[in-house]
Amino acid sequence: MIEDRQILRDIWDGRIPVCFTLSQDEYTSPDQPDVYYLLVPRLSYFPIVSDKVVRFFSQYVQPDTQGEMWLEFQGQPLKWHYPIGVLYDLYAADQDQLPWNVIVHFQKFPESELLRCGSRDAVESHFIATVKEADALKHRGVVMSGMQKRDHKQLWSGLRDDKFEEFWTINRRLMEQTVENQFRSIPFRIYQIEQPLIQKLFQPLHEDGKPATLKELLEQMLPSVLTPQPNNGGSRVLIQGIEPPLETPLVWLSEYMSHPDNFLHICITSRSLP
Amino acid sequence: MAGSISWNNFMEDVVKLQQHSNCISDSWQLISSTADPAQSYLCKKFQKLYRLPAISTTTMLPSDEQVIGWKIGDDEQSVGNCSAMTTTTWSHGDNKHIAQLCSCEYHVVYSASYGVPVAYFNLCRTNGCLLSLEEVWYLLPEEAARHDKWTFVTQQEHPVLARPFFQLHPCHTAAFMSRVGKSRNYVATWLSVIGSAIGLDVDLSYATLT
Repeated sequence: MIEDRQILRDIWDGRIPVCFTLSQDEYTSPDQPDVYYLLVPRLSYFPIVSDKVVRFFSQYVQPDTQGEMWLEFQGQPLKWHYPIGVLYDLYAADQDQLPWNVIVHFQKFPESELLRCGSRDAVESHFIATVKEADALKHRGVVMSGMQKRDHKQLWSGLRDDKFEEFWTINRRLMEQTVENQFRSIPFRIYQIEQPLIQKLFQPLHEDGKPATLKELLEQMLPSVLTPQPNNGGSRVLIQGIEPPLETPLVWLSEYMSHPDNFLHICITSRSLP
Repeated sequence: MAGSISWNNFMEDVVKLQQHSNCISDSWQLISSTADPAQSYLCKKFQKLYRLPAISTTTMLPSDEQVIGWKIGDDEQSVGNCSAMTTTTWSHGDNKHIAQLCSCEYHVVYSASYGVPVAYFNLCRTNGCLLSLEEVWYLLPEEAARHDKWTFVTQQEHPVLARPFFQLHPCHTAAFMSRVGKSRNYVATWLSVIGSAIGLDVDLSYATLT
């Protein structure tokens, strides 16, 4: 639908204001280092946008002890391989405070929790592997394996360089559906704090041909989310920072609200009472 | 789908493989979760000597690197090979190699997305530190270097444990398994194909399962 294309653009342009602060145990100078403000794309990954952050804070850090940069929010190491918007929705959105205060570390990399990211090649590799997995779910991997390598490169460079048209020229092939070629399964991941990630097979259409809804996905995967909890405002179901109506067809969400990796990332958080 | 396997058949295969492993004292264990049976996986732990560069570095290996397979510390032949290749593969430190004892952990996890088993593994030094991705690539057999390393083995989040593990990428598994002949045990056949690529010896007697 032509009018839904604007949704793709709005999703693409989603931004989060971040305030990067150097961890106190990273510097010995009595003066507090400056903080670094950055408006970051929700769809991107921290290693893609943090070159300037590393350069900025390197002036305060001893060169001989400077290791790989890693990020933390309120004691939680941030997994760089999750899209930035997912990390924000999961750990910070319920507090509704902006900018997002992210702490920068260069020592004591928590290697039992975070993947190493020595270069942007690691991000590209992870991104393409995830798109391949999404395509395996939707089309048995036929679309990605039928592409040229330069098409994969264009998906990556479109995301890395924030070029919507460049990305969607290729990605529309991954979102195509015909009557004979429906998505076989919806690529989704459900995140909760301190809980295992949920990723299972889920068919987009019922046997009678009716489209399955977000509510039906949650009923099957996480029924507790739909039952009101005492003592709090219940759960929030966040996709791209908003709470879609639960009646929304899942295949539509997959087409329009997925991340560039072609996964629908769904964050379940608590609703804070005012 | 040709070359893939269902979850039920995967579980049948890993149970049989684990039983045979018990018979030959090969240490494969089936880790099950009562909360979610779909979180079950095979696990094998052992220790092994690897010949590794003495100076660890986080910089990328030169793109023209040569690798000559998994280098076992007690293999005198590999000592010569290591010496021959040190100048072309490492540009830091004094290029000495040290036989290092590593704790190895290998997992076989079912991927519902691809309908195939996936190998995850970690190698730890005696001080508990993980080997880096560059060191793992260094140990890969030469055939892997012909492919793009970034599409062969990378560090990923383990789907059950949510911790960093190295993963042998699964996106071609169904294709090559469809070219293998019929087998009564898909997982045993798959292990015999991919084991040597990631430093995992597979006892020949597993062939009796296939």
